[in-house]
Amino acid sequence: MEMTRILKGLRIVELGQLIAVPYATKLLSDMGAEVIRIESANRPDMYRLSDYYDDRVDGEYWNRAINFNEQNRNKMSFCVELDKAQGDYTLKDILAISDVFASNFTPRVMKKYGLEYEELKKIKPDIIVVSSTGYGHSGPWSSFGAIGFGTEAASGLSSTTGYRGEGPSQPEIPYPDYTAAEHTVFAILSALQHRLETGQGQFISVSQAESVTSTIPESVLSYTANQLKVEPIGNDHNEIPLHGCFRCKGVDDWITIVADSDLEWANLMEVLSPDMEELKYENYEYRNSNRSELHRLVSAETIKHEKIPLMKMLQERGVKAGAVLNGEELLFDEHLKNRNFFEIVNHDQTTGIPPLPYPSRPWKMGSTVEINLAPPPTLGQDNHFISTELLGQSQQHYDYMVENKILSEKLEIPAKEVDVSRDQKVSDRTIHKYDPNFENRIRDEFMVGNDDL
Amino acid sequence: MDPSALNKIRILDLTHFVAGPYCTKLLADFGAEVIKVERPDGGDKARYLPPFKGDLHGPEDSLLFQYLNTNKKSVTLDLKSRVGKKAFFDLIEHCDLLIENFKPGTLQRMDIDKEALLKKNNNLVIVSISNFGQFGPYRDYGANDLIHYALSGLMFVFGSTGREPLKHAFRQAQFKAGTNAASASLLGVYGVKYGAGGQSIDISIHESMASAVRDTTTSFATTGVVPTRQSLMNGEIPRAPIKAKDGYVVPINFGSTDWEKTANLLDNTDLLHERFSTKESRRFNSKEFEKLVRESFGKKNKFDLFYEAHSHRELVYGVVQDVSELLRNPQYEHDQYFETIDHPSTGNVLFPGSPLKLSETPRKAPVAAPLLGQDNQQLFQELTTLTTSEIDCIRESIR
Repeated sequence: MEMTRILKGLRIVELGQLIAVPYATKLLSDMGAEVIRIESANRPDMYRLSDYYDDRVDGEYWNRAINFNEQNRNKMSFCVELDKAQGDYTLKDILAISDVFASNFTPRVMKKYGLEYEELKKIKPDIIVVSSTGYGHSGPWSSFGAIGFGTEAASGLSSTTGYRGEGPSQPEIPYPDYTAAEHTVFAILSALQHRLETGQGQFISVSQAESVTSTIPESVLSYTANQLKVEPIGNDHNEIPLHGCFRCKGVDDWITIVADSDLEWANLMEVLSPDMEELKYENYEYRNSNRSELHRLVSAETIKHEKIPLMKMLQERGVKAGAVLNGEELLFDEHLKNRNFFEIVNHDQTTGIPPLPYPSRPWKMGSTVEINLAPPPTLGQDNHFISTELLGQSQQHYDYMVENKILSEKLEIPAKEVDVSRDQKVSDRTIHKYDPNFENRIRDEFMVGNDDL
Repeated sequence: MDPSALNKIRILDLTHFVAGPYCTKLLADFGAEVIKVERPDGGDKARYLPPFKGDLHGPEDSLLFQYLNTNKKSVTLDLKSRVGKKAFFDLIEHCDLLIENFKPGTLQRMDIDKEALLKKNNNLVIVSISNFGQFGPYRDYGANDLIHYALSGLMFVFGSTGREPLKHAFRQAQFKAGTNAASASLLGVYGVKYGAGGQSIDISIHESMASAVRDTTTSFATTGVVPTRQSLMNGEIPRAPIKAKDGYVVPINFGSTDWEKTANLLDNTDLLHERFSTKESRRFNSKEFEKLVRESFGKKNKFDLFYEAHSHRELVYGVVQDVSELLRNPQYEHDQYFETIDHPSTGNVLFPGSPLKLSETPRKAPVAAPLLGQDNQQLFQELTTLTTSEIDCIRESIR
């Protein structure tokens, strides 16, 4: 059967950093789009500068930066200094033959380099230009830099999230970056649809803070309609008597359980406490008005169980339950494994990094669709190709750009030394655990390794 | 002419609750014609979800439902009935996409399977949204957002170390999956244009969440480290909400910021003392450090801290806002983010708008969510072979 790369032939130029845009273009590159990542040796993506494979800081450490690699599979890297006129011209030359230009720098930066839509339209009339910012592309907060932790606070989500009766809480990942990226993918595809029908390009602006506000209508509407502010209630649920997270056997092991109806409660008790003779809990109203008592009762039983077997027992009886998985358990989760959610991505040989399982994408297309899964680029890996073949510049010109450090393949910034060892982090409790045997675990579980290269 | 980006796309929308309707809302807001199919006995169950306006609690009054269903049309069909099925398959012929979020296997049990659908319309793209996808060991597991937070790994890195893991308020997993499903729908439509033909696309809410928790799986795969929840203030100011005088801010340093900048921002010369001048010394004096830091934050107003931080490029602090503050926020005001929608049952209510601005194909002005079955007459007449009496019969079945 013939396979289709849905976005084949689409060229996206990305001036991105960290997650909000790189994650979005990663998903589009999986679907066959060609993504040219514009990098800089003077101002590299922070993801090039921290967290390296196996904490190794020697040599070309920037090509072993774990988050960069995971976010930038399939992409080409063109490492060019826009502060130098020749570099700036070259980027414009690339844009003149590209379909989409996506950036998540502030508008100040875009203006500085003449990368605003009005300018780029002159070079490529049907180009689609995407500006993904923390708070907005124009307006009073538009010059404010942001990462997810800041936009989450501003969005209204944090003020409603946290332990009951306490202040706001946020996860340890920059959650809104993904929310913005997901909306960005949708916006780009919508603009492409329009271009396909009419030949017209356009300018897209995405506000990360607003993208999250758009996903909390419950809070917004409670206030706009009834002047009610939603306060944090932990894992509780206003309409469901038992809705919480309970400790299980093990170190920091937990299970979430939802039991609403009488039947769900009865099934839960059948698993947890089959000898329970107390009849009062059979009454929905009693359960609903004695939630802490219920929580204690369930906690006293869950602690006797391991989380995953307990989850399975409960789900088999029709009780909603989910083990709280940590990063390691998620990677080895049997359901995700069965669905091939983690896909094996190779790395450039010079990095010495084995093939690794990376999260795929939030959709599974039909069997006629081919997915692109090429290695992430080393810094400036495609400088020569893009300069001489894509743009048709002379070898002489290329040499000039390299000699004058307009194009680079190396950083002159020293690696950020690993100041706290992984073992120290474990004892400080800043990480849950460290498994020195991780390489073998990955190789055995996913049946990949350097031998397969 | 309608300038909307998606005005050539017609969707048969079998979704209900939150994830599916948010998907089709995005598509409808940018111009797709969305025909929402609801069951005649009560319709989409999101019609009964809070918040409501005051004491209004009828099937047209849920504000959450209204938010999720702007710019859509509504027809009622009993897909188990002969007439319902006939109308359904007639409609399918006219649509580019079928989007559904029943439990896996439900449609098949009603003899609405991929083969039958593609036979009727071989370029149809079927998008199925479910908790854990259409196959796999957890396929039939029950779930809501709490369960997804647990099984996606997000919860493990959410909350305080040693304490119970947390989830976000409300239904983030649903919205995440809805957004991804909207993108996948458009990819499906492209697929048809570029030769992939009609196909079915599997959206797992769980995987939508897990995709965004990539940091933690990648951490293990590349360094063997399993990240945990928020640590104590151990000589560093955690990147987490901290109490200011009148609320909370989130201290965030972008890149390598020298300590002096933070001490100056906090207006506390004690923090410049050599006891705190290096990472090591702050760590060594961590108790005293924590006390001073908390006191300093507690003396300043949150917006003062926020604006002052942003006058330095490296300090990209966040400020925790509640809805009342959002409604007055100068950036949201500039973007005209909030918008009034006039609904026949609830009147004018202020709704969240969209984070997306498309210069040439702006989002459609929101048309209020449809009343249950309001488009039966028109759409059945226009797009199906139902007889007048069959259409009347459907109308009478609405409860």
